[in-house]
Amino acid sequence: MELDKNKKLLIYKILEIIIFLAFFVWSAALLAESILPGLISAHLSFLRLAVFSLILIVMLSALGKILGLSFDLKIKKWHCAIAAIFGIIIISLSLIKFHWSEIIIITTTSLFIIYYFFKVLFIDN
Amino acid sequence: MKNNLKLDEKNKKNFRISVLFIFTIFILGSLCFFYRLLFPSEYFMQSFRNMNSLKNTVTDVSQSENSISFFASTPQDFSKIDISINLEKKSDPISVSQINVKKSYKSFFYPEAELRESLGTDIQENLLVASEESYFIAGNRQKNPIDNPLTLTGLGYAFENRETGEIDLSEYEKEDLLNISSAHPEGTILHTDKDNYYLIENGFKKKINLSEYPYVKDFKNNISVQEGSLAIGEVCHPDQHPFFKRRYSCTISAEKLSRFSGKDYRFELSDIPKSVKIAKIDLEFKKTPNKSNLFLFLADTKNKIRARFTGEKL
Repeated sequence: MELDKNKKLLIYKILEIIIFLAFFVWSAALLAESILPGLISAHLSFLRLAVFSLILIVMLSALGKILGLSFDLKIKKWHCAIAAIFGIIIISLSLIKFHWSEIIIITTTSLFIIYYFFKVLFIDN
Repeated sequence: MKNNLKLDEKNKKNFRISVLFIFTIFILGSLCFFYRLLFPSEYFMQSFRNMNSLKNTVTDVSQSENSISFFASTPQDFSKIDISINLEKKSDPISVSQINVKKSYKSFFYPEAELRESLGTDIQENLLVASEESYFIAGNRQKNPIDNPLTLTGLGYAFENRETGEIDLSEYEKEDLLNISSAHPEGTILHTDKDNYYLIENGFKKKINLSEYPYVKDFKNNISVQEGSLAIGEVCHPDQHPFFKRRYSCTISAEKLSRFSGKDYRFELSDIPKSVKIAKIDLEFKKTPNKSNLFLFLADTKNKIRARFTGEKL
């Protein structure tokens, strides 16, 4: 039975919300885990969460294609600011036993590398 | 191209209901997760069909004519223990059996034996030695590495009693890695609340005559035990499940046992005749959701976070 366009759109919008929640859980779990390793991973499998999120993304993108939706990246400045702050916190916390000068060097280098990959993969194309 | 993501009226209503449903599931799921995080359970199992299975988390299982005993080791204190016994298809039912649980250290449960004083040798102290990132219990020309900080404190050692001077560990022979299920290594001294001292040797605890070896009192790494822990235990009688006739279960309160030091819970199933064939035993150590367990979790988490950020060891 072929679903009509409205039903597909409904599923698409529901999937969007589930992905948003999955990403929220991801970031919260990652932050808690970087503060105290083992706190979350003792109860929640990060691998299962990653596989679950990936399946959701693949489903969303397939459904988007069926619906003929375009995926234009519109990155706002505040998106980048939040991502950068989150990245700095996570990377710094993972380097807690390093000297502060090493933390600064490794964090900035990591952020530049992430930005470079992001630029090559998304912005330049 | 702008995406048209507008739903018709009927689907708009469906969407609102779906969102409400998803958020309810999410909130309920989060509550369940936080409950498990704040009041964690610990599971142990033993399959009697496959005694050597890696999934068996119960240790030192010993079966005699009419009884079975085994250990479950955890450094945490719990409120209660759910015990479930599954029988084989061709087994007689359990009739009058009882389960007794005691808590102490495996080494304190060792049978007592005489210390042969005629040996004329000194009793050597087992030292707690920090070597780079790992800790060892070293003494009597042997060294046992410890797998993690929880095992170290779980066995009753304290980080502040570690040796501060340089100790050449290469002279010691490397023995088994100590994990949370391990018994104390050879040469350990147990100090009871009634001021008795025992030496652990060859699977026995041997009472030390202090007039013969007075210096034992000054050893730093003597392990505190309570003599009451061998006498006081909790008992329950397994009842048959109303539907699954081959399943028997009972619950033991572990509150009283938490006043004893030790990480090893010794379970003893008595009055189990040979005709009763056990397939599997499951144990679930649970914490009651109350204020004191909550504060215990918060204090423990705070200490762990502080230890992580200040670099001090737990």
